[in-house]
Amino acid sequence: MTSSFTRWWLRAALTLSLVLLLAGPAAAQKIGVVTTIPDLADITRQIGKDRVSVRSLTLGVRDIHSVQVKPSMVSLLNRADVVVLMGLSLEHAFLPALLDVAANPRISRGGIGHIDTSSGVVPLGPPETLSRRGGDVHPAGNPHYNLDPVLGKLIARNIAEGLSKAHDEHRSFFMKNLQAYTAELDRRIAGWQKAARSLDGVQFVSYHDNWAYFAKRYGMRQFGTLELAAGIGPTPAHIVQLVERMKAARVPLVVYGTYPSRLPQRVAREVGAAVVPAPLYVGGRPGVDTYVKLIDYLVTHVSKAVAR
Amino acid sequence: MRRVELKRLVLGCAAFLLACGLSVPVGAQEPVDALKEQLREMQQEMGDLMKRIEGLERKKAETERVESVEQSVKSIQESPSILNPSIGLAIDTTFESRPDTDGEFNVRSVELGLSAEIDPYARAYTFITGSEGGIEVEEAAVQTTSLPVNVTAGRFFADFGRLPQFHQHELPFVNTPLSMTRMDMGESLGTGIQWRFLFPTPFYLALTGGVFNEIGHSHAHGATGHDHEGEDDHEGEDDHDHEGEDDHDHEGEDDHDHEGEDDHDHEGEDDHDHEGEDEVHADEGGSRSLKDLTYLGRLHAYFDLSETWNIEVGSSLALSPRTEMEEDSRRSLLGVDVTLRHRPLVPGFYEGFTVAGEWFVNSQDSHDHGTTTARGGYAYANWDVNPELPGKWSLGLLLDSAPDLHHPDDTTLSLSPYITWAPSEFNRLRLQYTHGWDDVGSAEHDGSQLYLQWITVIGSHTHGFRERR
Repeated sequence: MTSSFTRWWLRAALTLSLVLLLAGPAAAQKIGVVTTIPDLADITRQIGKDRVSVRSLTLGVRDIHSVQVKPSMVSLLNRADVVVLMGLSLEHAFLPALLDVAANPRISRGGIGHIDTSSGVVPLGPPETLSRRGGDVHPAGNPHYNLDPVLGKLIARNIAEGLSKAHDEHRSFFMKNLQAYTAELDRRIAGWQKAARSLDGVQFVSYHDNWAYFAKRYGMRQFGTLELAAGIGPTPAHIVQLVERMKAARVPLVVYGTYPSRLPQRVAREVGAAVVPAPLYVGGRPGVDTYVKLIDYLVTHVSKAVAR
Repeated sequence: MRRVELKRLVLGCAAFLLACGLSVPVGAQEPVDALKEQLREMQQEMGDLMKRIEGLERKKAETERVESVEQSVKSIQESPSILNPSIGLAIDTTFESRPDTDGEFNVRSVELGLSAEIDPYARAYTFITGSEGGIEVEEAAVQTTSLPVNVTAGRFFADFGRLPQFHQHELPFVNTPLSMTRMDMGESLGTGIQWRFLFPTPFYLALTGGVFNEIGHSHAHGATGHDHEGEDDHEGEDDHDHEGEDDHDHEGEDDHDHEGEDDHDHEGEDDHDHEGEDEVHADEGGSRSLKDLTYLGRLHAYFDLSETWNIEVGSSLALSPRTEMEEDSRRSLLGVDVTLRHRPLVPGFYEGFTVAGEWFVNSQDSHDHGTTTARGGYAYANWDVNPELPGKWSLGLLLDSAPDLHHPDDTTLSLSPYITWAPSEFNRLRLQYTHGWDDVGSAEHDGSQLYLQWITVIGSHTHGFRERR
């Protein structure tokens, strides 16, 4: 019995392995890029155009802080030429573990294909003390800088430089596309700045502290978060106090992204504030399929909500 | 340098224009005035440009200073993880009420984890576990990170099955399923070497091979609450069989038990459980033949069925060509595991669902006693819910069928509903009720049992890809 099913198992495993090895996909012609969030995927496509094949590990509707680690991510990273990440510990819950088993030194930290787009970003809100008393803190500061379109230009520059470093033969192509994309962002940024004038000085409450960069860009003031602390969910006492404070300060806006909608809507109703299910990443809402559309959506919808 | 060149250019232009102005005939005074006006304007513009250049240079210098400071801060922030190992501690405490005890508190394990990159090619990690039974190095391994094949060597959880690779405090329920413990695989701990190859397929497919002294749980670690149960099982089986079985069965029982213990305990037993085991280990010496090792194979695939559904399937085989207690006996353990997960795109009250199970077939051939085959396994379903209360909540149900390896028709069945509350990622409480129906004779698994578990984590604590949920 032992020998019969052992032989069967070994034969099956070896046969399948051989077939799959022989039938493996042919080497790809394009530069394989894996990004951690869809925003980076879109910007990489703008820089790399048809010379890159880009996949994002996460969807825009998912909370980046509780990403489900999937073996399919290991396969993507194993074959990737380049990995593009936000850095500042945003991906600490899943990326290091995946890179450990991806067996791809090219994209591991320090590798030529490892692009951290936070280079040059001055992080907002670094913790005064590194303690979990403050929740699941990001030691280097707030990592949600993708919502500032001016830093979007920096992201694009870092990606272009990283791709050029990894694939110097395409440098002029990437730099030319960077120039065009930066010009496009500059033009949009001027428009967004005008459209967001009404946001100047507006106080708001978000579910998690991922609006700091957007708020700073457009002069908004974060009043508080529905979360008790980073990664620590809302408690009844915290919500009661927050609602009282919001009423006293007449906070006009509640925003939430990838989080459950019931609590933000209830708080907004109690306070009499507008509530915006604003996406945090590309793909976070239907039709928001590029970085430009993401910022456009945020500026337009948040401004409209405040105007009401 | 650029400023000097710009100044020269401005002065050159000014001189040229002045010369042009002086050379104009006296009768053309108006154009001269116009030129002088233009010159003044140009000088003004040049002055403005110079100021702008100086401003930009100041800004650039400031930016460079900021970048330099930022780099320094990053280096300081990152240096602990580069130069020193990441350190974390997990504490697993329980209150247990079982048929054999009205209630007792246990510190089941205190697990100190250290991990760091060794160099660009490899990382190392260790988990040192303390319990009421003592302290042991549960895992100490080095793993390559740059080879096309992941090679792991040392003492570590072998790539057998899914939950056998989990540390007990990382399981979705309180106790290791009895089916896993009875199959001598409470945890897939082993000392040896293993390599995992990832196929270049569009989906995840990995093949693992490995060679170990043995694979299975050490009794030294079994000093934790649950693993006492595992030991007790054997004791219970002994009692049961001594009383009710004939000589032949009695012999077989001994053979099995010794073998099972060998499989488990080769490492830890020597250190912590000398009593009663000296005979087993006395003739081990320092060398083994290739037949005395355990060989591992595992094929593991994963498919994203959609954006919300995924499935993971695996099949593992651990083969011991010759068990230590009988010259001509061999043993194999086959496992098949399936995990189906769902996570909705838009979370509400319902946040996700996991249904998973593993089925084991343990087969032992010996010249004297023929073949004994035992089949057993477990299945569980876990729902993540958000009742708008603090923390994360999940509800689950575990079904376990654990045969007696010597008398496969005798089985312990159990059903365990449980609820887990995690106030944060690093703090988890769980309440579990278990009802058992036991044919094997281990009284502690028959009837009602109640468990309350509190797991806390401090520092940097991660078991990585292996123990993903």
